[in-house]
Amino acid sequence: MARIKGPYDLDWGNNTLADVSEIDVNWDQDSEEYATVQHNRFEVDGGILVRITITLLKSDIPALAAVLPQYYVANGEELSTGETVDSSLGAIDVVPNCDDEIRHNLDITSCGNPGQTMRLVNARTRINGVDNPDKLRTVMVEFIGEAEGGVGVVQWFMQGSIS
Amino acid sequence: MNISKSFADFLETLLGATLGQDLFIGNAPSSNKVQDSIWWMVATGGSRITDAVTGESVKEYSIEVYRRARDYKTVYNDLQSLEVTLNCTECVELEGFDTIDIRASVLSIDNDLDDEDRKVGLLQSTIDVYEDCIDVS
Repeated sequence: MARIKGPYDLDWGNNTLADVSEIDVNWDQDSEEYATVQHNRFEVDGGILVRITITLLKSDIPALAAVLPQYYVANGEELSTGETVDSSLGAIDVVPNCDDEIRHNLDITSCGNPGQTMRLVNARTRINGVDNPDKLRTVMVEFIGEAEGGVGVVQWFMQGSIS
Repeated sequence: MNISKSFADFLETLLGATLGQDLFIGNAPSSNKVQDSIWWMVATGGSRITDAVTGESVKEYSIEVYRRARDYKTVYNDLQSLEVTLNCTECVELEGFDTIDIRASVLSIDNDLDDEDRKVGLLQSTIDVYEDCIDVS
């Protein structure tokens, strides 16, 4: 048995997410409790919802675009408020919409060679909060795992061991 | 680039001083080699105050800036001016360092142990920098 330690590599789609100060995993599983006339009690497990919130220490446009591609507006394109973006970095325009959400597996890999990967399957993203303390703005982004029926919600495997 | 050299370059601009002539790193040269009116600085630290799970960190350095001159008023005014500048300058970027914050405070002025007619004052500066750590595994 071995301990799984950081620092961790975070990958979502084609992007490696750096400068993450915190990873907060929220695990919620439905369950239903039953009792029999024989005075037995048992619990039946239901669906699992896993949300992983990361706190970004670097929250410039490229960093936000990597985790919130659904809100990214490229150079030369128009914001929802009508202005045209005039920067090679683009902009982020948080507009609630009904478009297909962008989903990828979120892989959190521990240090080591190989490391151990914890995968949140088929995760989409949304903003969880923005913090403006003394000097460093941080942005909290939530990854919500929404695996298809019959597919694992969370997986653990050694880095590079599945294909 | 280390933090001492980077901060010294920054002080050169702020103070109008010249490294190696009236601004020194580490200690003050002996009296028979330099003028009375000089600055010197000593850097310590590199403590990690925030750790990112992805390996980066926010580190804190402490830099002591000394001011020496023949009269008390010069030492006092120069240190007070530097303190206000360091505490009020916005978006400072030290060369080679992703600078988050610089803050400073001035301590009392005392006689120079080597010469009672000279005064030495001290300003303590704390610098927070963001560092991308290199994977050495």
